[in-house]
Order: sequence, then C-alpha cells, then structure tokens
Amino acid sequence: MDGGSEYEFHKPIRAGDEIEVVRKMLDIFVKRGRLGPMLFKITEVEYTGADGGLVATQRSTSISYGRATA
Amino acid sequence: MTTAESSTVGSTDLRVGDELPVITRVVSTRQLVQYAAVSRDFTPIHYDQDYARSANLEGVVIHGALKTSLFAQAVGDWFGASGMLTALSASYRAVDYPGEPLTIHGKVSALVEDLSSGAVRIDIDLELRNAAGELTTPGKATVVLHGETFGD
Repeated sequence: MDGGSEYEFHKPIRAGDEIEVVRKMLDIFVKRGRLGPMLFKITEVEYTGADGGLVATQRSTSISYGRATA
Repeated sequence: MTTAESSTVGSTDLRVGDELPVITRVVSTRQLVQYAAVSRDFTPIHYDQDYARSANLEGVVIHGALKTSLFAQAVGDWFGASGMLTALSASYRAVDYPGEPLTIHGKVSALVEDLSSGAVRIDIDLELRNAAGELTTPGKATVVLHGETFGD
C-alpha cells in the first residue's frame, strides 16, 4: 500500500517542455508492527528540464505487509 | 476564520493560526477508475468491490495519491493563480471511501516575507477528514505568493 508522498516543485514548467524523469530506490527496510513484518520501500523521482535544472522532486513510501493481503 | 464566500485569500489578510475555508469533496468510483488508469495503480482494492471486502475493507478505497491531489486542488482554490505551490506532502494513515463527503482543512503554520522581492512564503498544515470527522490524512503545503499572477 501507499504510505505517503512528498512533492517539491522547484520551478514552473510550460507546455512543450521536455522533462526527463529518473526514479531511484532510496531505501528499503523492514519494521515489525502489530500486523507482523512490514517492508518499507522509499523511492525518489526527479524531474529535470531541458536546461538540466531540477523542476520537481517526489518521494514516496510504499508499505508491504508480510501476509499476502496486498 | 475566513468566510467560505471568498474564493481566494490575499496574503496580507493571513496570520499564523488562521484557518482557510473548509472545502468538501466527494470522490466517485468513476474517478477511482480514471485515477487507476492515469497513475497505473491497479491495486484491486481501488476497483474491485468483492476483493476490497475480502481484505476487510467496507468497499473500494480512494488512492492515497488522489487524496494528495485533493490537497493540491484545495491550495489552488484558496490561493488561485497568484500562488505557486512549492511543496506538498501527505501521510495516508487511514483509508477513505468514494461517495462519502470528505472535508479538507487548512491552517496557516508559518508566514515568511522576503522583503527584497516582496514574495511571501506560507506554510499550511492540511487535514483530510472523513464524514465522521476523523483525521485520515494529514499533510503540509508550502505556497509562495509573488504578488503577481502566473500562467497568463
């Protein structure tokens, strides 16, 4: 399941802009909770404009439970 | 409290602790299908009622990221084209269901004025509450008002 997201918008983009999108796995770890083991995956997506400047950054947390419900 | 009649909020009117006009939204199952397609999130709890019930949910649930987009829309409703959203975050603590009135609440947590440029940075604590009034999704937004209109 989706645990949450953070977005930063560094500068405006315009119609016609070419945006490069790079997704990175930042971290992966296990926590133990009431419902058993939980696998956390933290990913980051960087959106870069044609001039090489970063236009936006997104960080997301995905949580998977040990039992096969998701 | 700001009245709900005003569609946008001027930065000069705002103080730390001010609450922004409450916005009510109802998400439809049609929107869930559209959102699944656009986000490529085909987790069955978002479109298959039987599957969702077998996972101990009341029915299909709203994608977390769709709730974040409700926050982004709320910021647009509050500040209009004079504000630029520079940061937005949300934490999906509990599920929300389509067909239920959800309320979006915003409270000013910080105001910083850049005297040289005249820009004002506003930090907002966001809350999405379900029909029972329970906080399911806290969030934060940062808006920069430049005193000019974007997107003309």
